[in-house]
Amino acid sequence: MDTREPVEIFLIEDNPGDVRLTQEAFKEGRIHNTLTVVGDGEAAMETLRNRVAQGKPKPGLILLDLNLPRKDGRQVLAEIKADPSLRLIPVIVLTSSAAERDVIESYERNVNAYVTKPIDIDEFLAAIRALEGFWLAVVRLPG
Amino acid sequence: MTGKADTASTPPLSVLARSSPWADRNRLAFAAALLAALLGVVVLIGWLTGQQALTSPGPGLVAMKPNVAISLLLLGGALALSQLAWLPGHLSGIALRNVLSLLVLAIALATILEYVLGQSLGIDQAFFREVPGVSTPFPGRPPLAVALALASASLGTLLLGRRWRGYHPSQVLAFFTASVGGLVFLGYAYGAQELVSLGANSRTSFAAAPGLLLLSLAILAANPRHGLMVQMTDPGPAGQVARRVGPAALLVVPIGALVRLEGEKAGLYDAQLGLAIMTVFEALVLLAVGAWASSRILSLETARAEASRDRDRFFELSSDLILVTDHSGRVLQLSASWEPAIGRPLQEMLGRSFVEFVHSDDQAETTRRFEDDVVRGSGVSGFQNRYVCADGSCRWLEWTATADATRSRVFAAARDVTEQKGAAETLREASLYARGLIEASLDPLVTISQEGKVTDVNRATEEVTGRGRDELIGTDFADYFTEPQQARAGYERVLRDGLVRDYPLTVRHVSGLTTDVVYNATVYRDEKGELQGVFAAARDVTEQRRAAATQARLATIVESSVDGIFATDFENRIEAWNPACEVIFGYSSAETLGRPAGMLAPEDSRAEQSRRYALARDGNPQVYEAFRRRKDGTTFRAQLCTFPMHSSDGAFLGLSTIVRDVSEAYEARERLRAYTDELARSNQELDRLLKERDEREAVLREQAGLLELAHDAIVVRGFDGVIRYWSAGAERTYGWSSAEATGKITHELLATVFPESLAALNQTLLEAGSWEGQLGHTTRDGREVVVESRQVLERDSQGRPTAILEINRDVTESVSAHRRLEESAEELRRSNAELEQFAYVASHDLQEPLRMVTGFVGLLQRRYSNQLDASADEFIGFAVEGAHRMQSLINDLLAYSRVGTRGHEFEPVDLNEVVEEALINLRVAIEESHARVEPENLPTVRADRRQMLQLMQNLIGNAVKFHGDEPPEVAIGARREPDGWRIFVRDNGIGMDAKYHDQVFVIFGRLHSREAYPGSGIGLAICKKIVERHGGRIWVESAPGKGSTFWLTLPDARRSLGGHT
Repeated sequence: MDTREPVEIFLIEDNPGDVRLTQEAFKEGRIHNTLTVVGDGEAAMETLRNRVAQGKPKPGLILLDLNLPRKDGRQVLAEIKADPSLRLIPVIVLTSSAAERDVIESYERNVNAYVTKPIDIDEFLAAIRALEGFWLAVVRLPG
Repeated sequence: MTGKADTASTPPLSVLARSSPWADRNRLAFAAALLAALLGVVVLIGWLTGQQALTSPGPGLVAMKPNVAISLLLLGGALALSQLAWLPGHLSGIALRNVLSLLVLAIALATILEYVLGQSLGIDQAFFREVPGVSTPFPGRPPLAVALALASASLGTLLLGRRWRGYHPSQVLAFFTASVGGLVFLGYAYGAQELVSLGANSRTSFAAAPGLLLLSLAILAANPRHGLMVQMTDPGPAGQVARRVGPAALLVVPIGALVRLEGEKAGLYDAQLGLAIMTVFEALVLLAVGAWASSRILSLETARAEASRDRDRFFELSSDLILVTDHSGRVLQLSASWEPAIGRPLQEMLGRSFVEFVHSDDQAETTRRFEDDVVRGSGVSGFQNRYVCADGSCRWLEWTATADATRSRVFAAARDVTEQKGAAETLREASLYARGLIEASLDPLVTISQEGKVTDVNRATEEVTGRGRDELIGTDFADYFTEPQQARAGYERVLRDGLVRDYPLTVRHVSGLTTDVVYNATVYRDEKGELQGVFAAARDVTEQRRAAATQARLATIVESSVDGIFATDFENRIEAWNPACEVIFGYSSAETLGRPAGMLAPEDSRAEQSRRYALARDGNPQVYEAFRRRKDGTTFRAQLCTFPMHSSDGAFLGLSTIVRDVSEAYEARERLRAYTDELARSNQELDRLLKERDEREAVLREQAGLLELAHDAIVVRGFDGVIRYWSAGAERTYGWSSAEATGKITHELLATVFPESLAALNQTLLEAGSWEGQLGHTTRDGREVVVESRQVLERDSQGRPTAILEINRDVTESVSAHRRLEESAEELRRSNAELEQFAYVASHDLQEPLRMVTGFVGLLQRRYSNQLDASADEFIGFAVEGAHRMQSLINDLLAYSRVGTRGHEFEPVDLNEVVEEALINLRVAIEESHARVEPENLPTVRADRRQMLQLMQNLIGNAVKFHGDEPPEVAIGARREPDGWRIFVRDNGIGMDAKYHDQVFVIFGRLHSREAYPGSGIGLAICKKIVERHGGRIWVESAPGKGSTFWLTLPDARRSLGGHT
């Protein structure tokens, strides 16, 4: 176990099943982290901007579903990457869509990674573990 | 020699008459007659006015009777008028004279008759009434003597100029009248009353005496050539005596008698003494008159003798040859000049006929002229003849001769004109020669006077005008030209400039023919240099003009000839080159003239050209065909006609060549020959066809029956739409019988619905000859039918449209079937699209719940297996497996739907690469089953690459998967077909029964349990859909245990079926 400060992961997802599966997957992970879940795009942006406004710590990683109520995940991605105070936070689209169009659009909006949720639970867990290991352990991000 | 002979060498009479004091007898006669008439007028005025003084000269004297005065007036007037030359025609003056004389004669005779019969005839007082008196027993009647004298005078006037037995009656009658007048005069003078009354009881008026005397004088003087007047007017001694002695006797005797009588009456002497005195006086007077006459005669004779001497001297000295002969030609006298002139002594000629000395050739003519013209005529002048000299030579003499008819003398004078004659003869000969030349001239020559009249012409002129010389001379020269104005203008130019040259005119022949001439003309003058007229020489240029015109025509022909015409000289160098040559050869004349003709022939034809040249030069015109060369080096087939040219003296000048480009003609000829052959073949063919036709006609007759059997409606209509033929098929199709339809208008009968206007349809028929399309028709029972109509325009042999053949097939059924088919196809497309949409949406929307199920069932299995009871673990196992199968089905369904909706653009795809990739993807399955996959070389096709991969992967996967005990062996290959590729995937697997061959391609169709052969059963359905999207077909050949072969086709021209590409 690592002694470092736990990393805050921002999960923007409206489906409770997916939220739970994701939480379960991170529980089995080796890196100490805290998972903050926001149910819609509007609330997610509000929370993020409040944090910035109040000088509170920003999340270390954002997992974004594309199909969100109130504010679409694509819009959320665009706003984050357009905000100089938020754009450095790595954003990973985690969605059930495997549509080419969605993949391209996301990368055009400067997403850091696009991951289709595997249907098989084992594969899903493996995918989350890989994300965790890569983004929280391997990658050096600006401090 | 008489006086007349003295001057006889010239016509003497008029000269003599003019020299006589009485010469103008007319004037004397006129004066006497006029005085008599005036006397009558005066007396008549007296009678008219009643003045005695005018009717009688003195008191007591008897008045002149009115009839006498009238007679004096008439007769005097008649004689006076007849002398006037200015009366219209002398004859009419004489006629008037005769009429008046007859009138007077009638009066006189009537008066005489009154005396004879002793009773009045009423003539006395016919004009004037005289108061009867003592001296007038018959008032107004003249005395008998006066009446007789008047009768005599009037008769003498009437007979004036007549001869009777050598006498002149008028003179005798005039003497009678004069005697009466003289007696009356003497009666008054001597106082002898017997004489005054002349035996009658009425007295004669005094005035009647001069009246009668004047009339007598007028009658005598009116006829001077005869009787008394001849002597009175004679200039010679006779005239001298007559003119002197006559008047003297007439005057002296009465006057002497009167003086004696008056003296005796006065008592100066007695009768005897008176008689003696009178006799002496009269004798002395007569003697004196006779002496005067004698002296006059003497001086005349002296003058005559001198004249005679002069004449003799003249005869001796005259250089002219003078000759006097009698009427027979005997020489009486001749001048001395004769002797030297002809070398003969005068004596030799005297007394002999002059004709003897005339040249024998001229004697006949001389005699004729002497007798006809000299003796009996008025003389000759300019007559020439030859006299023979003593030495035998001849002299030419030119004569002037005249005869004295009364004295039988011929006076002749001649000049020796031998020298002139010689000159004249020379001149005449020269003139004749010149004339001969002129006449011989072929050119028309003419001389024209200053007035423009023709003065002379030659024979050529006669010929060119067709008119005789006499006809031409004296006429206007300009009349003989077609353009007289131009002729006159030329004439005036000659007069102005002295000459003209080459003046063109056209002479008109009397027949109307014309001759073109050019005139050279000059003025000509006499020896004094006076302008006489114009001499004009014409040259007939008709031939020249014709020749020039011919030349010009020939030149034009050459210039305008379509054939090339050129000439070469004796060295075969080109001398002439017409425009056609320029066209044919391409050389301009400047490029050819003077150059050898060899340039016109190609190299290999030059020898032949030279040979032809030599042949033509030797007089053999050449007509041949040969190749010739143009300027641009190309050759052409030429037809040449070459013939030699010679000068008029026969020298060879060169060749003239006519050339024609006959390339086309040659080809045409060749073509024609080919056509002819073809025609011959065609004829044979035609014969054969004719035979066939006969056979076919029989067939056609059968076919005509077949037409009736045809199902199609066959209609023949005119351009106006009128139906002419209506087949049984038409009856069946439309319900109208042939009898009902024939003659109707098609589109009216059938209520035709045209896809385009009828006019446009007809236009198409006219232009293209046929039309095809669908028409809507209504049948007799009101049913609407659709026909497939084919219409053909029929034309007659001249190409005129005659009819339209219309074949209509009822396609109502097939049209509706087609429409239904289209509707269902549309329905299918729609449902396909809906199905795809459904599949897509379903697969997407099914994913979420499925993931929840699999996710949490998976977590259950992961975390709670072996913690619950065995049944729970089994349930969880089924749930996980069901979730997985569900996920597999959804994925397959999604893939299937994506074939239509998520396809890619077609591109060239190398199937070898595709198969290679598929084998990589299938590596695990292949290795596990120890399969052997052997692809042949495959083609590159135009296709959706990803779908091709999916297709091949599915087929190969199936081939590997469905194997029996043996390891799978898979063969992949391709076969070329006409319209694409046929590709197969063959295996040695389990195979299938034929009844499943279709079922395997149905979605989710399965033949085997999932346990034996796992899979969703959608793979072949996807394959079928992919192949169909590429326009191909897929099927399977298989039997159980025999393996399977999947065939699919990929056509070259592929059409996607629905969806986007």
